[in-house]
Amino acid sequence: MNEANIKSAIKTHILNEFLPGEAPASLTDTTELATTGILDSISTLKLVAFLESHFSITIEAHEARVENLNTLSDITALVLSKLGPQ
Amino acid sequence: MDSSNSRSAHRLPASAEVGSGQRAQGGGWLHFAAVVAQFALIVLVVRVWKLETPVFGRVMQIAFIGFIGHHFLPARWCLGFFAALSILVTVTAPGGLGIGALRSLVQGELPVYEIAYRMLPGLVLVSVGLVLIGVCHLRVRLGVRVGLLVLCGIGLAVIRANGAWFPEIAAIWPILGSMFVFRLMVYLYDLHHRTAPFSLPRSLAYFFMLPNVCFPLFPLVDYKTFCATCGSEPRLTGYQRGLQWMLRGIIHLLLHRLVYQFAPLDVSMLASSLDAVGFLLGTYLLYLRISGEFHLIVGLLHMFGFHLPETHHLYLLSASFTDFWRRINIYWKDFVMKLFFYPAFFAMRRWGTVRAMSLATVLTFVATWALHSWQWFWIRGALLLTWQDVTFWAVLAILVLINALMEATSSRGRRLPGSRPALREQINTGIKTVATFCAICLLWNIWSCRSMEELLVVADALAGATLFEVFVVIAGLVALALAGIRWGQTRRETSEGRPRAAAGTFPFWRVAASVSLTAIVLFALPRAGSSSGTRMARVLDSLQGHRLNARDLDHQRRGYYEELDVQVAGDARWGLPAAPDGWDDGEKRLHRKRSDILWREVLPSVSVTAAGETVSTNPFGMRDRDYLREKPPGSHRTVVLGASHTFGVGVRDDETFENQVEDRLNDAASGLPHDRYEMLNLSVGGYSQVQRLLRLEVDGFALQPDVALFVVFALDEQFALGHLARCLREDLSMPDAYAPFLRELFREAGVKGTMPQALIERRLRSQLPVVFTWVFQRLAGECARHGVRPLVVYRPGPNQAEHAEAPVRERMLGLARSAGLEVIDLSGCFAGVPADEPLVIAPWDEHTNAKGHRLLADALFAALRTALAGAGDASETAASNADAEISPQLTDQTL
Repeated sequence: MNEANIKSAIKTHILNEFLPGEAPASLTDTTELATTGILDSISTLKLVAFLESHFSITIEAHEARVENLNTLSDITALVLSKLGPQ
Repeated sequence: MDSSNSRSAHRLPASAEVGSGQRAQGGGWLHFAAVVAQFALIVLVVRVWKLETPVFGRVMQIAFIGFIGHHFLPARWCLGFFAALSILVTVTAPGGLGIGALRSLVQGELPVYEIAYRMLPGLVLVSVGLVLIGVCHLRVRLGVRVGLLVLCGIGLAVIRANGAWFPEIAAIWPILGSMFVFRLMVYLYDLHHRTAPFSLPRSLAYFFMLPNVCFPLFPLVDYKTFCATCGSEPRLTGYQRGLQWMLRGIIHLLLHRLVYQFAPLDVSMLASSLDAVGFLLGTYLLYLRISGEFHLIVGLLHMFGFHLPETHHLYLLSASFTDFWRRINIYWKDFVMKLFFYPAFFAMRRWGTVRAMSLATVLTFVATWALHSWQWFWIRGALLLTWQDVTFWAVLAILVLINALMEATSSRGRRLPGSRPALREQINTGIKTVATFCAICLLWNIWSCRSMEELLVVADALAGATLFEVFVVIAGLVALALAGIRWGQTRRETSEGRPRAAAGTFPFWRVAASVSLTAIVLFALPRAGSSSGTRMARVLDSLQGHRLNARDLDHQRRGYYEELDVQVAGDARWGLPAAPDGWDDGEKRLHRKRSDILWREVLPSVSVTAAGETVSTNPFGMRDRDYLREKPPGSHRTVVLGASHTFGVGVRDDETFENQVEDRLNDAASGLPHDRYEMLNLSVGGYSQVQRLLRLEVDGFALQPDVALFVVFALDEQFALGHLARCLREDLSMPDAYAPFLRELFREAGVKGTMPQALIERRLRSQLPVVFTWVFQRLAGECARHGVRPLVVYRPGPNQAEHAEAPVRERMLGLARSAGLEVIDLSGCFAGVPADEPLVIAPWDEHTNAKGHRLLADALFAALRTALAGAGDASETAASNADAEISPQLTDQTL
């Protein structure tokens, strides 16, 4: 799975789950999710659960922080780091 | 000490840097001059309004000077400078040392050993802190370090619980608790996971943060955020944002004082349903003090390059319980999320997301409750274990859990910045805002109430709502809904930082102009208001300095007389020193109970230590000198009937104003007609007017007085209510002459002895004019029958709360005059005393001190000399002086 596919899957999940009705184009790679309150504690856990099940990775408690989850790019980077070199 | 392992991610403030925003605004010097001017204004505003404690005022001055030095330092020295400044303040502030002390030291007015002694608590605080930080960095396993810290904590807690062991350092415990109890947990967590850089200056700056020493409830700052936001935006933008936060904090603190002083927070005074609504709302809004303090602290930290995010975000406009939890005390929420919620969830996620989330939520609230109790222990020396506290956290946990489950199992629509919600969604938001506000307000009142009785009284007051009152409440809720729609959905910052987009568009000059204008108005307001001589002047006066409101004064008085715990005398008193053990013991040994409505009396011929002073009584059960029962020929005798202040609680036997007046009357220079003047003090602590009158009839007339001084004061209304409720609840026997009046009074008010005291008091309140009228009329009648001249003396309170006293005094003295009684109004006798000069015996005890008694004696002597010099036959004078008023001021002019 390449970076674009990962990002697309995450973007689709976020739009469906947390931003219903928003135009896909409005959610860019740099749209801030955690610091703007779109990802709060509950939605963070839901997102983590999705990432773990969809990409078969394990995320630790201390990794569920803003540096890793604030934007699509951050989340994609986290997933890529967990998947390791393909 | 560990070295930095992620320096690239955490910049120091770049002192020479002027960010892009500033460059665009046209250079740094002008901006910096504007910042300095605003900061100076804010320091002055803190000073004129006497915000928080005197220590805070001194710390603000040091912070202002430190800020200017900090700005001009090379970047690499900034953090070290802030750490050193913080340590300096931590060492000096607990001992009351500030810039003034430094000046005194230089001028030789303050000896070096005195300075060293006053620095002792601060030095102990810093030393203990350094040991705790050192333990965190021991090169042993995490579990061992945690174990060592727990052992240190237990040891310190034992010393804290036994404050009498080391009274010299008693002031440090709340501060030590606020600096280390929670921050050590965060620090260890981040140290373990290496989420931030570590160095000695960073650690010192983090734990001993500059304003912390003034605030036992300092916000729990996340270490990673503390490092990550250090220099995270251009300096001048950070300064201006900090000034904005400080001003916002000041406004919150002033609003808190307004609510505290003027909201109907005394349940016994709830006269209508709107009053009850005011009580519910006012109780909730008292939280403004916490949000104000936190804004002020975070703003001050901005001035030293720590661009921390907001601590509260429009929490009154929360649209759900989870939303409320995320908006109020954001740093706390993020702390428990980081250390409890996420670790618990990730540990239990194999049981399924919803189940793990539910269990993690419950665990988080249990931790929150336990940690609040632990924090309370460090502030007060005892764990907080009350049904109110348990109920509050349990109910909030259930509400948040239900809300969280709804969010977890169904999608909650969020919006990207800039999106406009549909009308239906907006209306929904408004309704949810109102529902959340009402529920939290109710819950908050359960948390804050002193007893279940208080809630019953509020319910009793709410039950009689009129149509108009219902309309007013609905109108208020509609306004709240509109506010929720308009402002409630604005983005909040998290403790992780503010959105990057928000940081780049800061309108420096617009914010500077609004901060400057508001600060100038706040600075000028007290002076402008006090010169107006209106009710506004009284209001402004009451907002300057931290004074107990009528409810807490009453509660303190009840604690004193009714053997409750004085140390729980209300939210406002938590920051003040507590009464030492045994403070009230002498007072209790001084009295014995009675079965009639006098309720208690002073024991004859005893000498005890009460409220720090020796109290001696004579064979007649008076706190006074020895007298013969028969009035000596040629002498003039006055009996004095008052309560504890007139009794002289907290002053020596010869310092009571009654004894001082007697001495002066007997002075040969007084030029009065009698050979000898005797003043017999029949006052008893806690006596209401009814009891004072009965004491005069039972004991006073038998002493053949010429004059009866009937001392009244502002708290007489509360005294009367408390006494009447006690008569009913304890079924105290009533004298035949009093019984018909009191029974009719109770019947008219609809009260029974089985009702809670607070409810009885509330229902009796409307009958107070009837009670005072009856007392004054009977006083006039009985005195005339016994040939005694009655004088009603108004004694002002020593807490200089003229704004609160004036209306009560006018009501009370008006009734006395209507009953044909002469009045001596001493209310101006404390007028020349500066507001910061205490007239009370101790911070925890509001009785008049020796200076206050001296001033009372000055005024009373001046008035009495006039009254007694012109007196003929007492009974005739009483009758002929129906409309007379004797003023000390007028007497001075006359003489």
